[in-house]
Amino acid sequence: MERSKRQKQRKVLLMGRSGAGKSSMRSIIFSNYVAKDVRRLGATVDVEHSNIRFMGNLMLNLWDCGGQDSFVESYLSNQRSHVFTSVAVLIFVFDISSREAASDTLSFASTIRALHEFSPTSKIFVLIHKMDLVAPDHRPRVVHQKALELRATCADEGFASQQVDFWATSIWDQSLYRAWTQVIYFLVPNASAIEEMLGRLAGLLEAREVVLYERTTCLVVTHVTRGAEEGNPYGDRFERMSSILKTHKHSTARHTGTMASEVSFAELQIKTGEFMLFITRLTENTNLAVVMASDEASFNAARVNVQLARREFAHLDIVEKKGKDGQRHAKGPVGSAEEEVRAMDDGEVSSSGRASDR
Amino acid sequence: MLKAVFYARFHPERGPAIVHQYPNGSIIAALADQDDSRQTLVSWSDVSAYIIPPYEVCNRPFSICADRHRVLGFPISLEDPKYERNRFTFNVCFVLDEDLDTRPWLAVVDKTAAFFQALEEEDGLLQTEEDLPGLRWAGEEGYPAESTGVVYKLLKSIVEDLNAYEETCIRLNSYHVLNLRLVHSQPSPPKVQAWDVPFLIRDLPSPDHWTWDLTLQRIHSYLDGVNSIQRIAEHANVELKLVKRAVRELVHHDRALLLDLFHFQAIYTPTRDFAWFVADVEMQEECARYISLAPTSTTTTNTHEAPSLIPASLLISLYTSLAPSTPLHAFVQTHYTALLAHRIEIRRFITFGTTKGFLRRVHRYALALDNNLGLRSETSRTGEDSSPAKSKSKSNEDAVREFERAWKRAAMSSGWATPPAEPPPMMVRAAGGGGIVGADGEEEVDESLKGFLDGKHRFDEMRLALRVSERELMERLGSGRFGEVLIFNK
Repeated sequence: MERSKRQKQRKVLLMGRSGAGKSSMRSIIFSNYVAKDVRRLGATVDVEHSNIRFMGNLMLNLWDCGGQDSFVESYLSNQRSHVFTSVAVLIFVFDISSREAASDTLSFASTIRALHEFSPTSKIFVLIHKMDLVAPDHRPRVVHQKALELRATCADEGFASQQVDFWATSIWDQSLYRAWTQVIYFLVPNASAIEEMLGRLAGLLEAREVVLYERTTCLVVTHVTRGAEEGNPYGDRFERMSSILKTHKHSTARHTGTMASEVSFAELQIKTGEFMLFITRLTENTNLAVVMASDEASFNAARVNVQLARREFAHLDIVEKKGKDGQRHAKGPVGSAEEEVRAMDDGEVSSSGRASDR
Repeated sequence: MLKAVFYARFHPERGPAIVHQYPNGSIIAALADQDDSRQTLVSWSDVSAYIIPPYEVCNRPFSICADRHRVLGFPISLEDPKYERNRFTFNVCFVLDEDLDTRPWLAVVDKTAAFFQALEEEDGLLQTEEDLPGLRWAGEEGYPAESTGVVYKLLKSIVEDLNAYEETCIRLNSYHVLNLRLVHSQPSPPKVQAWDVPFLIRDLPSPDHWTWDLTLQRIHSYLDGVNSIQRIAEHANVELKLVKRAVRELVHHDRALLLDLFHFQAIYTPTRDFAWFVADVEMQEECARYISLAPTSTTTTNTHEAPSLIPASLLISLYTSLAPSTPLHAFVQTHYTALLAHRIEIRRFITFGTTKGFLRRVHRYALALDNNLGLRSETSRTGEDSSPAKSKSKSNEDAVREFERAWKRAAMSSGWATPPAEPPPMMVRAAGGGGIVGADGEEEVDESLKGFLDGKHRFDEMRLALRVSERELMERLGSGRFGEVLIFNK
């Protein structure tokens, strides 16, 4: 039923206590808010629905549910089936600074009980939020304790441990992006196909690292790391990138007098003695960041190759029913790109559009 | 009748909740009754989403019907960083029966909402009330804590006063006062015509209580239910327009009724409401008492002997013998003996019927067939013309109106256009007194009569305007000067 449509619809519930930070997170990720802007947000009245397009063919139905007692009661009683049917992902937000931890846990338990009733195969992401209010050295312990407790609760309600993921977040640093990246990665339907193609592309480009991220939210969809790069100590570099790109958007907006949502760039290049990085458009909704060694020739070749590879990645937006055909189809053109690279081994830049001859 | 009033608010932790309700138990069951089967007026869970709606829809009037009750509200959402979650959203709602006319209540709801908004914006009273330690919320034990806070008392006064007096004036402190009144707007009364006869149904309040305006002072002695407005205007020497306005006011405030001109050429007939009269014994007795002439002192022998009432059967037979074919004089002649024997006053006999609604007057109209078409086009051309000379063919009242309008227009135009100098001829005639006109006046009468022959003017109107009797009117119409004239009753 869904496959016949061009778009895949995924229902995502965003629930938690009132004041936990659900609407704030939603505004930062999807509406280009900056962390200090969210102070002005009002309480959500009942449910706020948003439909967010992702990667071209993924449609997120995000249900931002108000956390007040009377709303929660209503979700669990007279709206129970309406809310909890066909849920792909439940994101439950815990406020770590809350004084009523016990009742929070109870509320969590009743929510996932209802979820299990109607969508037993859904995935649960528990975000332990407002971590900036906890002292840095206490953080790991606190998170671990909470996760343990909640994992037990989930198990009680019938969810397997691989269905539940825990992340500590705060709007003031990049941990927010990390958690949501995982959510998106789970939801993107053809993530493995994308990864495979990216892997091959990375090999052809001889890039150190290739990162694919969504343009409007700046969330990293997936990445491929090759060779020595895997020893990179900055494990959180992807979410930092998201954060930096987001800030870049905002400052561009401020300086050009436009809205943050309208800001875009054609290409971004960073060249240093250690590495060279360029970010360019890959598909309609995604950008690709490529990290190369500090070599001018291969850098330029990579740029051209990425341009040529764009057409193949556009096929990713087509619905999955052409999945197998898509794969076969993908193999062909990528093969032609391979030949393209070999032809340019001597470092010369050849004109683009050669692939069209094939 | 106002069933209940409640004050609901969006609480940051509880969500939409009712803080206060009056009477207790109307929306949220009181703690003691929660196991009772006694129903609340509306189910809160059904309507809560509409009482505290999303912010974009707030700050405008809202009404919702549920469980055969109507809830009228005006959600207010005040945005300010000083509040937790940056907003203070509340709603003061009125619960009425579903089929009650809501028009008088809309203004009340608006005003109450504005009052509460001022309370919160200026003094923060609503927010501080919730922080009071002794406050109880609706549905909690010990509700209502009447000595704590102001809102409960406000709601209580609103409900009790509006139900008892249809108005209220609640004073919170020196600068917060709530004045509410239910205004039942009635449709404006129809235009009063010169041939209507005002009939007082209630005594006018004495001049000590209610200052009478000049017009009323001059005309009130002529308001006897016999004089037509034109005659009142003449006798009291007041301008016709002013008399009409005064009478219209009296009718609007239910102090007078408009009757038709009583004369013995009139034709009356029962309406279908006559069935009520037949069925209602009390009305028959009232009628009998009203229409019988008071016995003179010579005929009364025993004072404690009650005068014999006219039997209802006679009344009914008399009323039913009125028919569209019978002018009143014929009716009186036919039933003369019966009327005399029971001392029935004929004017009151008719008046009782028309005021109660089971008798109606059949009017006569005249339509000149031949030249009616020509006449109509002529009058339409002269419609906008300000010259009084051409308006002779119109009725007296229209002419007067035209003249006044022309005067006004001339006066308002810059440069002061010359206003029409000649007053309409009819006014001259009116001042000259009634009676049959002399030979040169004949032409004028005929001319003006022509204007009435379009089938829209009653004989009463014509007679009054031209100051002729009905017989003379019939003579003139039948004389052939107007061609073929069709006379019909309606």
